[in-house]
Order: sequence, then C-alpha cells, then structure tokens
Amino acid sequence: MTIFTPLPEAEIPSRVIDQGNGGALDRARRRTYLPMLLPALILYLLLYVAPAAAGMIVSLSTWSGLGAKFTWVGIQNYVDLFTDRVFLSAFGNTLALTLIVGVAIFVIVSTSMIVLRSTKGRAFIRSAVFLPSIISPIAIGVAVAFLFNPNGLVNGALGMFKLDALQRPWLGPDYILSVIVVGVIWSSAGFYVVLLMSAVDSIPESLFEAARIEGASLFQQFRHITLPLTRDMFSTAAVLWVIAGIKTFEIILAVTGKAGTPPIQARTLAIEQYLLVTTGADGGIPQLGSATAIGVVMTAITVILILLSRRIARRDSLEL
Amino acid sequence: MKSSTGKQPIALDGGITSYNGYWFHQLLLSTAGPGEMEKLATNASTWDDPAVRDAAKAVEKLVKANLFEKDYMATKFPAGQNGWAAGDQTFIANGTWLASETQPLRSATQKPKVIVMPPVHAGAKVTPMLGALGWGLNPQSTEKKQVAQFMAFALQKKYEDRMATDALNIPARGDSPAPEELREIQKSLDGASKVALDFDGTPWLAPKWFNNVFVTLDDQLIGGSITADQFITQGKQQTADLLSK
Repeated sequence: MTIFTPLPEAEIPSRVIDQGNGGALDRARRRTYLPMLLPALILYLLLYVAPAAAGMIVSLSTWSGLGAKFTWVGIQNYVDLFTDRVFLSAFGNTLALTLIVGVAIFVIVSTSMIVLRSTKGRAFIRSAVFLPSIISPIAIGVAVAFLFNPNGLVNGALGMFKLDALQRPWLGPDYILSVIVVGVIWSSAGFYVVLLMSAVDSIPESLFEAARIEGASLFQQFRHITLPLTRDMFSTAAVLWVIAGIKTFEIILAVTGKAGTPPIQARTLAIEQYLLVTTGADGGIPQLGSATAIGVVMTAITVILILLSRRIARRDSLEL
Repeated sequence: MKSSTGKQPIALDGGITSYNGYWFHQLLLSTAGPGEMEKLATNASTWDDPAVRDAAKAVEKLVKANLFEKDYMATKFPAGQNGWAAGDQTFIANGTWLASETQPLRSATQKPKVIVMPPVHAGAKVTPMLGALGWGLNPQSTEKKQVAQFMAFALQKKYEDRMATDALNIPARGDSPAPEELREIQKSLDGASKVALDFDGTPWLAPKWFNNVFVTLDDQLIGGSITADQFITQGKQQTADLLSK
C-alpha cells in the first residue's frame, strides 16, 4: 500500500506553486477556463435557462399552441389566477397536501429511526417499506380508489367490525383530498425512510452504546444523537419532498379518473395546469398562457418552501 | 320511489362530472331548448331565465327524493354503471355508448333501452343530444373525386350495418337499423328537427367556464350541498366575474 503524504510548502518547487495573481499556473488556468467551461455553459443555457425564459414569456401571453396567435397580456394571467376561486382552492389544496404529507413523513421517518435502528430484520423491513416507492402512482391511485369505493374494502372492513358509524362516502367531495393524502403518504414514506436510515447507518454505534450506558432512552438517543447527526439529510429530504409534493398529479388523476374533470376539492396546482393545457376531458383549446403562469407559481412556491425548510434545518453541522 | 330490491332506482357515477352535468343539461333542453347552455356561459343574465330555474329545480327534486344510488358522489367509475348493468338500478343517464360498453356485464335476459330524457313539463318537446363522428372533406382539396370514391366505399350498407351489429352504435345510413337497444333513440334522432351538442359545445367554446363554473356548481347541486336557488345565484355571479376578466 502506498501512502501519499503532502510535502511541506517549502519543499514544493516554486514553479508549481500557484501565486494567485500573475503566476504562470494562474495565467494558464485563466486561458483554459473559458474553453473548458463553454460547452457546459452552452448546454445549460440551451437546456435550462432558455426554456425557463420561454416559459416566463408564454406566461405573459395568451397562446394556444403552435400555429395560434400569440398575444402579449403582461401580468394579466397572474392577476386572473389570484382572483380565481378555483385556482385559489387548488393552491390551498397543494399547500395542505404538501404540508400534511410532509409532517406525516417526518413522523413516520422519525419513528422508523427510533425503532428500526436496532430491530432485527431491519434490512428486510426497509426493503418492504421502500416497495411502494417503485410502484406506479397510477396503479396506487386506482387501488386506493377501489379500496375507498362505497362498497370497497375499507367500508367493508368497518362494517365487518361493527363500525358502521365510521363508514363514509370516502371518494365524495368531503373526503377525497384526505383519501389522496393517505395514498401519497403510503406511496412516498418508504423512500424517505430508506434515505434517512442510510444516514443513521453512518453514525458510529459507540455513541449509542455510550448513551445506553448513561441510561438514555430510545427517544433521548434519537433526540440527542440521531437527529443532530442527520440534520443535513433531513434538510435534503425536506427539499426533495417539497419538490415532489408541489407537483402531485398522477395519483389524483388515477383516483378521480380521466373520464371527467377532477372535482374542485381534489384539484392541485398540477391538476389545474393540466386542465388548462388539455381543457379537461371534454376537449377544447389549450390555454397555455394561464397554464404556464401556474407553472411559474409552482416553481416560486417550491423555491420559497425549499428556502424555508433549509432555514429551519440550518444549524452548525456536526461532524465526527 | 324505490325498486323492489329496496335500492334507489337511478345509477350515477358522480365522480364523472360530465355524467352529473347530463342531468341538468338534458332537463334544460326540455325547458329552454338547445343553445341555452351556451348563453349561460356567455351572458350572466341568462341565469335569471325561469327555464334555467325549472331545470335546476328538477335536479334538486331528484336529489331530495333520494332517487340516486347510495353514495353516488363517491363511486369509483365505472362502479355505478356496472351496478346498473348488473341490475342493481333501473335507470342511468348516459350516452348511447353505454349499451355496448356494458354489454359483457349484462345477462342475456337484460334488454336495456336507450331513450331521450323525459321532459320536465309533461308533453314538452325534447331535443336529443347528439355527438357525431364523421369524415371532413376540405373544399380546397384537389382530390375530390378520389375522396368521393372513398366515401362511397366506406358508407356501403354492408359496412354501415356492421356499425350496429359489431360496434353496437347507430349507423349513419337511414336504411341500416340500429342495435335493438338503440332503436328508440334512433327514432327520436330521425324525427328531431333540432339536435343539441353535449353541453351546447361549452367544453370547447368556453372551457374555463365549463371546468371552473358549471362543473363545480353542478357537482354541488346534484351532490345536494347547494339548492337550485344557490346554484342560480352563484352561477350568475361566477359567470359575471369570469366574463369581466
């Protein structure tokens, strides 16, 4: 095995030391900087910046697609959106779904970190809870809808246990968002459990042993060891969830069905955007200006929520 | 009014907003005739028309009479229409496609009949709704002769007859009989002086009004969470708001 040890600076030939300003290496680096950067910069501009700018421009227009007249309307699409009760309802539903599912995932993940860390067969359990993450959201949505159908398994089971009073028309307007939330939690939680448990695995067992000797309970071990040492991963998971949550779409369409317009109680921003792009199941002319404005709003909310979650999680990182 | 099975007599997949909307629109066709729904989308004062109120009241009456199947607003499509095909309910408001769509589920003894929606006021004229699929010929085409040959070929009686026997749809030719289930509606269509498009074409002509105003209020009306009067008041207000933008 070869071990490389850094040379003291005094022993490094002066010609290879970067002098910062005006050194030979610095000048060479400056000459190669732009040519090396240019391909990536061009690709980034073409694939990310240009489409985003085009989207911003379309959001300031009325346009129904290729071959149609493009009319500049300024911020009118945004004004219309924020005075439209259906959009505001979809906005509220999206935030509610993202926050409720986010909190539920945090609770499930935290419980898993306490319980699963020392449980026998934890690798199998992790694989089992991860499984829903790789199943199509469409399949999950349809299955959830069948379960919660008035004659479905949920009401059937409640009846079997003489809990008829708890039976509900789950897919009706009053409960449908709750059913969708349950489906999203079931399908998403496993991914975050596996993500966070991988961070837990990197914590030395000696810390937990010391805590146990000191008499710390499982919850105290979680609070004083696991949580501080996985804070960065929690922050990453929060960002990933916010991005996914704001875009929740397929599972809703699968629960409500494509044969009609999803009811207002089940519409998220992504569904509302879809309706404007396709104008619903009955056809019509796309309204790409308003649809793109919704996309811009979704991006803005995502950025705001990411910044908020990063701020909440921000502390001096602990390293071992 | 309940069937002998003790179940409500009308099947409805209330999760499908257009199926809910058929009730109001078809009743509106009998009280006001075709074109009224388009006026509702384009002129808010149309909501004050007594014919609109009559149609909304008729929907409200059906809801209050508890005629729709249990938990109809919460069924997962196609649970409602499958229940009807299995004989759980007697009636369903839907398209003529339902005859072919549910055929595999029906027993050999079940012979459903498709008819136009009965009018709100007895004896009133009923306008059937029609959704047609057909060929469009570009008048600028330089191949008109070939197009005519193709049309003559495709519309031969032996092929049109199979629209009824194989596809269980109503053929375009008058001398090709419809499937037995659709004979009544074929007669109504043949005898109609006017027909109406689904929702007077508002899903295409005024999609934002249809998706955000009509569908949401109609779901509440047929779901029983608002009255006919609230449906009209809110419909007028929301249409005016939308048109003012």
